[in-house]
Amino acid sequence: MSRTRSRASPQIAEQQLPVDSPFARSLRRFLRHRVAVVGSLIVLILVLIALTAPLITPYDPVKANLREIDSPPNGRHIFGTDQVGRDVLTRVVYGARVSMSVGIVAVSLTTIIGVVIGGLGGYVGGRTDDLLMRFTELVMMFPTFILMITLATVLEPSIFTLMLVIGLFNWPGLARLVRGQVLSLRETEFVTAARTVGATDWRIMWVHIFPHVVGPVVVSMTLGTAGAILAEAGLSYLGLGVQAPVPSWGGMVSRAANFTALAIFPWQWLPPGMAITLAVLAINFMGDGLRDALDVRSRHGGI
Amino acid sequence: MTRKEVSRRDFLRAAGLGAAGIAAAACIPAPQSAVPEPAQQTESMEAAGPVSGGTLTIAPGALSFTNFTPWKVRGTSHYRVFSPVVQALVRGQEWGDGLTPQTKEFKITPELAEKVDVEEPDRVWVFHLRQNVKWHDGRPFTADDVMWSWFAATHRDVARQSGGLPQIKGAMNLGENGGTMEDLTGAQKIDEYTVRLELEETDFDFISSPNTRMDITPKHVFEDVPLDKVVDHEPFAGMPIGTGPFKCTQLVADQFLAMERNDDYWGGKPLLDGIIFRFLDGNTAVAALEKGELDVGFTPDLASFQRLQEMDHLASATFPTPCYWAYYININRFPDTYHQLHQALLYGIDIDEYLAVTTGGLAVRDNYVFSHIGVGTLNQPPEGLTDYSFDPDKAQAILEEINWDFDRELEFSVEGEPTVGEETFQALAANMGLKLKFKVFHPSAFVPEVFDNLDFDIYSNVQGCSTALGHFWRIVKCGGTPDAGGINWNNYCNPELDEVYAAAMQEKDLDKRVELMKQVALLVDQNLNGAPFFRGVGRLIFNSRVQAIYPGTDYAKSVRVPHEKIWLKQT
Amino acid sequence: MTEYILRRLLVTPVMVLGVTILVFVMYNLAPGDPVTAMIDPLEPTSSQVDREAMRERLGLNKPIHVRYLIWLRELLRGNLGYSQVDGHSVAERIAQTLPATLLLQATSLLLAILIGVALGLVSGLKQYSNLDHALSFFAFFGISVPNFFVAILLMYFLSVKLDWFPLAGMWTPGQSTGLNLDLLHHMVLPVLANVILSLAGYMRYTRASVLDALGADYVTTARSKGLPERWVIIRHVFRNALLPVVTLVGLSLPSLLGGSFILEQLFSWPGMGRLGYTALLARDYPVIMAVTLTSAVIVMLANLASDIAYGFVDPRVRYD
Repeated sequence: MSRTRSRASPQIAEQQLPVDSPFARSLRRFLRHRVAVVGSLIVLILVLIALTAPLITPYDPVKANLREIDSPPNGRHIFGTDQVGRDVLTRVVYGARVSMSVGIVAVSLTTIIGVVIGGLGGYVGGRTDDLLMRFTELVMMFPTFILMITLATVLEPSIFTLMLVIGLFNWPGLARLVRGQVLSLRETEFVTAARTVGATDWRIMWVHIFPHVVGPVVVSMTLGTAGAILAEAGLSYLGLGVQAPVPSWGGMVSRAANFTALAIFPWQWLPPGMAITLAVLAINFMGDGLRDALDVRSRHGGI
Repeated sequence: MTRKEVSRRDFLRAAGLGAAGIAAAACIPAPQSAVPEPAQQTESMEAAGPVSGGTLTIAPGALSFTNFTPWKVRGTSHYRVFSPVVQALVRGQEWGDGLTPQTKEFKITPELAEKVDVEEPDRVWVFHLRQNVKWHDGRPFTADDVMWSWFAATHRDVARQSGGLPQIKGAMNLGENGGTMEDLTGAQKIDEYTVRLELEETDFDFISSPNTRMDITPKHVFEDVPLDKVVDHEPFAGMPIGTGPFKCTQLVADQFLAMERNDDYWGGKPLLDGIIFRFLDGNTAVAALEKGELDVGFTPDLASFQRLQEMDHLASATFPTPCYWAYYININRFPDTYHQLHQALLYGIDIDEYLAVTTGGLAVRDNYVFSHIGVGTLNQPPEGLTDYSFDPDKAQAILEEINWDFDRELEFSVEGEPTVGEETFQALAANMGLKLKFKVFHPSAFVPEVFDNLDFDIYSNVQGCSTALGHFWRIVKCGGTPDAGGINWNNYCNPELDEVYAAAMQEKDLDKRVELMKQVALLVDQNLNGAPFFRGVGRLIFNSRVQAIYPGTDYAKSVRVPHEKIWLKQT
Repeated sequence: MTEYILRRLLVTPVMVLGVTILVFVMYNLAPGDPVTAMIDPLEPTSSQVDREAMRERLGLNKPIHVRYLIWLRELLRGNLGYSQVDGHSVAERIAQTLPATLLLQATSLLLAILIGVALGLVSGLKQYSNLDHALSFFAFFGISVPNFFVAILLMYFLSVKLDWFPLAGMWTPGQSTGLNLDLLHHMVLPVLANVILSLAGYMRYTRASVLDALGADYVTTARSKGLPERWVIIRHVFRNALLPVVTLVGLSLPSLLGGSFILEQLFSWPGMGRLGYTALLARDYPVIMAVTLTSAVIVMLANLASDIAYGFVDPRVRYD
């Protein structure tokens, strides 16, 4: 039975195999992961769609058109129209902008918090580390989604609130991962060597530690984006998402998430629903491939 | 702060939407013209007469309640649940469909009172109680129960939960400071089956208004209960004991309340074996209706209503509610032009199109101001009232006349997120060149920000759900605040109107009162406090086996749902 | 070992305290005042003067840390405040709804673990087979669909269309309640939705764990000793692969409880999630906060239990 993953820690693996650059090797491993490649292509396409939205569709994503309410797909509206006559395709395309930017901003927030807390804990160690890790465990104990709901109900509704709420609580896993990585790197010979020749903490962090943390961070960001898109959908369903009429995938699906739309207006929920599923699936596959390629071992990093 | 705000919000809800519910709760039949009658109905009319048996399952339209006492009734869905159990002395009859005018022949439906003598019109009554009525626990119903109920409803420890009956003589003091039965001087027991009720002032809404809680609860249950524990006294709070056609048998919190037939019901033996109220999410209720797990579902969303009514095993009914929907320009921000802006909206927005989108054309277009003011009193518009039919040119002319800046974006304040109605309004306003920009408020911030701080250029609201003129007045009266008993959130002020209205309220002669109300209507017409669009319409979907619940039966004029006369067709 | 458990036990109350601080901070961001919400609405304090006196007496005009202590003291007395909507004691409502949630979540958790681990084992042993790919895809798909949509689809097809299961609720209305077959029948759909949504984690985790074990030295040794393959799998691979699964229990509980807000409402399941949802619609903050607090404490206790259990089954564990 073949094993693709090495049990050894990444830096040792790299030192043993100096023949090609780590990047080229990771890329090769990633490309071998077919599903991950397909996933990445889908993600790329979705990003392109989001960026070029106005070129793809001539309609206004927000303006109601009362003459064409609940129209099934037809020549002019290939995905039909919604409750107030807006083109569904247009809203899905513009929704990609909102949903993905919510996902990306939220995840960036998560990453910053996670890397700072994990890095600080791992690098400084001692009491600081102890304190930070207890805090991390504390946040980890909270049912994240309930926490999101609670915070969303007390803050003023806006897209920034949403990004904040989704991004604020998901960092403990990453923080622990980064801490573990930093902790083990701190003791390695090349860091000790660098220290003895008088390298500053910043330099050590940047040159010797950061490159090794990139892998887990990238993987965690990818998977986190998928989670954030789903969280946006869940919060939308509870009326805590992006405020209508601004289109978002979650908002569109949850507005059509009723038995009547299910039965007679499939065009109102299928496209945004598929968009969510496709995006989340693709991002997850991409993350899975990245994990293998970057050789990130994570027990608690979810699936 | 919190408490105050909450009670305020409750008040607003109860006053506006809540009362809508109460009207709807009564399952008010539609005039025959409102909707084409479903085909099933004629069939069912030909079927054999009423049979008894079976259990009716109703989703009252609420997620859950923990308290079903009259003191805690909160709006429609709540009222639906307790109305088969708890009864009142009398119920106003004519307000039922919200469109039927009060006339000189105005009648009330006797319930626990067999006969009512009017000692002084709209102020003093003598109620003669039914003598054969038993509580669900077998104890006889007497005047003591009525006296207790009035006392409880007005005492401060209970009234705070119910809104009370402040009109009764002595009630204000009892509500402020507490006291004993003797302090409620307006209520007198004459003998075991006769009670006399006296109000502080004339109030011609009192006896018929759905807002007047005349519901009667059993005194003996509360004999040893401290007053401040009455409202939440278990098991009564969860399964009240009443005199109605059905008695509570099983409550599973947040799930259902089961009731069974009260064979001793004074109005005759009910036909159904039982009723079950299920607390379902609105969306789930739609599926339950489709599946046949549910017999009656109230106010499904429009698309679901239209889909379900096409199904073979389901039938539908609509009923106009007295609530009217209006759009309000902020009078403080447009002190000189609000009247013209309201006019421009009434002329410039195609209300028929608006209604086609938002209500499937079911709602009653009602864009002349008069009917809201005159409801319950007048059935014909007075001479000289403006007819605001769709006329874009007129709207443009008005806007030009006030030098409207067409680049200006109006802040359109909405709660939570814009509804389909609000989005439709925005689209139609764009047609007349008005730019509306949504300003979204958190539900908990909407009341303080929009009603108190008046943070809006324009917003929509539903009100007047109670046909009680006194209630309506709280919305338009000059300088009123919620705390002072009014809900004049737009700071509308029209001293002349105030005067005429006050005179109308004091007028005991009905003809003269009608004349005064005509003046009121005309005064509002000359100085619009809002742009009224339409009357709401209630929607009801039910299994076609359910008989005698919808229009076209003998009970069409009934105000409350005649639960004891509903029956199920055998299949 | 004993030290590990002891320290774990000692840390828990501190964590609970941390949880209360977090909740209180959020509560203070909300409109209204947490401590005022602790006043029983039935206490006769109708006038403004009474209310002011009450505020004074309760120390509501004091700085935030004092108010936190007041709030905490009330919490310790079991006073979670009163609903702003119906004035009901929040503690009573939580006590009323919690069992339904625990029943649903425990069943879902158990089934998700059983099925997830079983599929994960299969997937791991047959790595890169079609079955492995299919299972992986299914697992990913399960977590890529919004949970409300999974629930609605299940309800529509398995209940409305096929009529295999009741649509919603815990018991057939009007029938007897309790632990009976009717309850079991009503549990199928919500449990199924939960399992679909949380299966993937266990499956992927077990799969990775099996792969790890297969490559481990002790397996190679066992094989080289000539033990039959089946014996190797059962004795060495399964045992070592399954141990860490214990720790997963605490990990998926947060998402299950979070999902209950949506699923319980759709399935009309009379649990804490539905209570939270109803409160959410009305912005009934005392209830929302109590649900958050209770959920966090449950997760914490579950984690504690699973950590201790893991400490027992795997003596290598130490507290760091």
